[in-house]
Amino acid sequence: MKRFFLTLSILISIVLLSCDKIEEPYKNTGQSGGETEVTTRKVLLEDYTGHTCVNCPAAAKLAGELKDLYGDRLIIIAVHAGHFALPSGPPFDLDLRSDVGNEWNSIFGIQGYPSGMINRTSPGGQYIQSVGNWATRVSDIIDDPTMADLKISTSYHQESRRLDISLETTFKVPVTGKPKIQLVITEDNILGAQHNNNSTIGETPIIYDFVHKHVLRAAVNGNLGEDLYPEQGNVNVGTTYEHDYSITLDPDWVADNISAVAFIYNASDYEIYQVEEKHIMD
Amino acid sequence: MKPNLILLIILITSLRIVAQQESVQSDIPHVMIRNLNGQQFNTADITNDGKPMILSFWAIWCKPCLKELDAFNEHYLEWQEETGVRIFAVSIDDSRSTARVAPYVNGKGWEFDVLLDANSDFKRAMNVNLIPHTLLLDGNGKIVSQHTSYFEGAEFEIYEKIKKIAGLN
Amino acid sequence: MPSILFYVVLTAQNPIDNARINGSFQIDAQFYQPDEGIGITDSVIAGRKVGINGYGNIIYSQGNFSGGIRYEAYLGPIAGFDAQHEGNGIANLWASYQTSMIEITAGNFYEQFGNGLILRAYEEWALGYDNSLNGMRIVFRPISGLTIKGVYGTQRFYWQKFERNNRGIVRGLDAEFDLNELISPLQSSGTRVQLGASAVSKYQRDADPIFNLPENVGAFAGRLNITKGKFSLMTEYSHKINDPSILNNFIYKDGHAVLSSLSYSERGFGVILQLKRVDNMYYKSDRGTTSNALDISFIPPINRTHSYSLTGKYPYATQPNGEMGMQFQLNYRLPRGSKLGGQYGTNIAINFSQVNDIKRNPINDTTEINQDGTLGYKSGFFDMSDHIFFRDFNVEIDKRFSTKWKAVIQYMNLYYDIATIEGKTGYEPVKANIALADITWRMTSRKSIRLELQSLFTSQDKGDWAAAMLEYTIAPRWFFTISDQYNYGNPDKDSQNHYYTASLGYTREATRLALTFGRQAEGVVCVGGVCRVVPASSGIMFTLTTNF
Repeated sequence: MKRFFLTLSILISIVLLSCDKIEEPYKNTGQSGGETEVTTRKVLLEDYTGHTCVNCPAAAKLAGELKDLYGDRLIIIAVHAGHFALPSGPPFDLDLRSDVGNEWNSIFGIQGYPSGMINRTSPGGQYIQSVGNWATRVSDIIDDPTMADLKISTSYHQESRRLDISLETTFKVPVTGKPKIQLVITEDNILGAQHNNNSTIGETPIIYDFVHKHVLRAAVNGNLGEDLYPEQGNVNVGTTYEHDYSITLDPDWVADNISAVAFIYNASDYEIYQVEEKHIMD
Repeated sequence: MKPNLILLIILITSLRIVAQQESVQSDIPHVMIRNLNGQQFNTADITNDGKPMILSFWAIWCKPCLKELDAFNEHYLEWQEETGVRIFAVSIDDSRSTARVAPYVNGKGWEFDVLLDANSDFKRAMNVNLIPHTLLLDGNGKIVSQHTSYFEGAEFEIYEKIKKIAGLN
Repeated sequence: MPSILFYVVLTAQNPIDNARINGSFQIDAQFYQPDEGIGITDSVIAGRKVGINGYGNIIYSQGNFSGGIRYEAYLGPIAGFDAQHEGNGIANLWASYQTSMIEITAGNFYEQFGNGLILRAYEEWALGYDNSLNGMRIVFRPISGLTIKGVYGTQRFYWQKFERNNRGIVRGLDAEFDLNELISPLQSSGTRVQLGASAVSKYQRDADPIFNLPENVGAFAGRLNITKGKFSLMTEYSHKINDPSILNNFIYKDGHAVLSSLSYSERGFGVILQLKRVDNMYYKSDRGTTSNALDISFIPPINRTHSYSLTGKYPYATQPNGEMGMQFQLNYRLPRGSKLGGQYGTNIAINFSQVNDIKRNPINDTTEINQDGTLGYKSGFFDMSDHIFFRDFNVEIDKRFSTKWKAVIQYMNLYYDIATIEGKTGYEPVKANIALADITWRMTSRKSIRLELQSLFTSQDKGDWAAAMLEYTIAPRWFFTISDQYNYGNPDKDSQNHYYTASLGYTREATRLALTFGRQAEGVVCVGGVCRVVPASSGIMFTLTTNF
């Protein structure tokens, strides 16, 4: 009898000991790392969101905090899609959806919002990452070695609203299969209403002057991009592949807030090798 | 060869023993659930001295289950006299309603044994999908018949079967 | 030698004969068709005209050994199930060895410590909920009256395989003492006392660049059950250390949950009072997930579970971030032959429950309540907010008039904070009155007709509803029903829809087949504390279930 209670109390204390009581500070802020090379691995965070989704402002806030932490190394695209992105009468009149966003949303089978993808990686077969795991997932891969360099140059003609974009891609390591390249346009700082249930972020239930950031507007070279090169076979390491595009900006878009985002990805599993962003007015 | 022979003898005898033990093995798996006082109850104790048994899975939120058990209760004394049948009603109410089962059962004045299977362990072991689910067992605990769902009047057919198990027909 | 052994196995057939195999199968299928009237267009169906969920479960047992396998296929999942269900394969595989003293299980298993406040692994097919543990469990009963359980494993997350660090690891210990068994003088006592204690810890690594997260989060619980004659007291307290997660907005406050109930019952009379307080008690094995999955703890809602379509239209779901609630129920049977009881007696049930939010006070002058990366808020044990989540007062009278006629009537008054419970932020709370009658006419000993009439009155959400259902049954095999739910009070005139259905079912032994044609209104289905939103649909539903 005594032995049993002894064993029991030992077992209980083992469980008790496996507890981590965290002391302040609970939260880190400020820049980490900084840029060590001219070109580094960059990571794309896609935030699937909508203006009537009450939990989405918290996700946008977290994305912003990650951006503060990683600076240019983290690129964000906010994809407004699905039920919560529908214009549903005042004050939710904005339609921030896009053809390309709708297609991505259906390819990855996203039904819950907010949710996201980090470089379209799929640990354990799971593309969709819930918000609480974004930070961990980003930190897991952001220090991986760079697989390719990607350069964006733009020139914008104010009168015609014509935007010319050139992309230069150079792989540093061999990869199997033929990669794809995709170019999209995002617009920052769009003011609109947003449902919210987190009083530490803003008013509940509606923030009337919410700033929608990194909003996906359109694809320049198709909803899934195009092949990096026309010929068969694997990529040539060291070869620079050049692509030139041009697009006329929609009259509703504010040119000062427009960025071009380009990424190269694995055509078979969508995983992104490298991503780059350029604000067109820089 | 000698050790092998000994091994063989041991094997045969042990198999025999197993065989003898199991000739009366019932279809009821051994699962620890609880009685109405909250005490642990081994389902191996679902026995009735060789007389037939009814095992019925139910829950407080399941209307047809309550109707079935009310119908059983109405006839229970009479059935017991004629066939010696014993009824076990296993509630699969989970912790949202387990505490309400005992007052409900007492309030209703049900005479049969009521057991609590709060995490559906026994239900799963018996492979019960939907409730009400009622099993008829012979005196050795072998399942003779089982039935899902309850409609008014189904108790009469159940009782006909019980009489057959008891050897009255 | 091997040939001799083979011969022995062949001849000693008795043990093989005594092996037992039992199993069950179920298929739920829905065939969808567009129905403009209730907003189901081709684009809503999006080519997915059929949804089928199915499983097969087989258990093999022989002597002290048992093992089981469970196959599931959701191709594709029926409407309302999370898209992550889509897939097929072996969901559970386990083996177990059991004696009266020890029981060891390896593989997938289900478990509950006490009321489940800090650990409950369970499965609810109708909801698509399964948080089974994949690991090992030992149950040890060294002496009569003492049970010790130890478990460790990872939880099921749809079809996603556990890989290093993709979700947490759970381990737990539970001990239960039955004092009447342990202490021999108490064996014959009329007072039955059980004590229990449990501890659970989850491990999930911290690689978060923003928050400094606890990798091991412990939770503890103690419980006491006393039964003395007609009285019964059950209480459990649980406590959890800092567990910042997406669901509590990454606050570092400790959490707790208390559940208590006191009841008195005698023949024809039962009364029960239940109390509950929950504060910051989400406990999941992945701090990042918002899915309805991976819960380690189970905080039961204690309000009455309603079984009729309109009384069950607005079901409460526990708010693990904080709530204080009570539930009171009285069951009384007016005796046979009394003036009100009539010839057959009359049952009356009165039930009241209310759940409020807890009151949260700032931790200091500069920090907002529930600010991430802080202790969040302070809330004393009796700090209750006047924000009501849910209130339900209902009376049910159940009376038999003759051998052929009986009826149930029920009235319910409801307050339902739809913004909190269903996440429809900005919506007004639903205040509703519901009345119903359920009349059964037993035509012959096997044939009966049942009529259900219900009415729901509210000026919020979708407005008034009326429902009628007529059921004809031939025991023990057949049933036929026709029903209609009519949303005549919908403020949007175009949405004043009828949801009519016709069903039939056939049951033989343990095989049941049911077919339903018609429309299903959008609704919330809750079983055992978890709720699932079922979208409106139209078409044919088919269920086949069997076991052996």
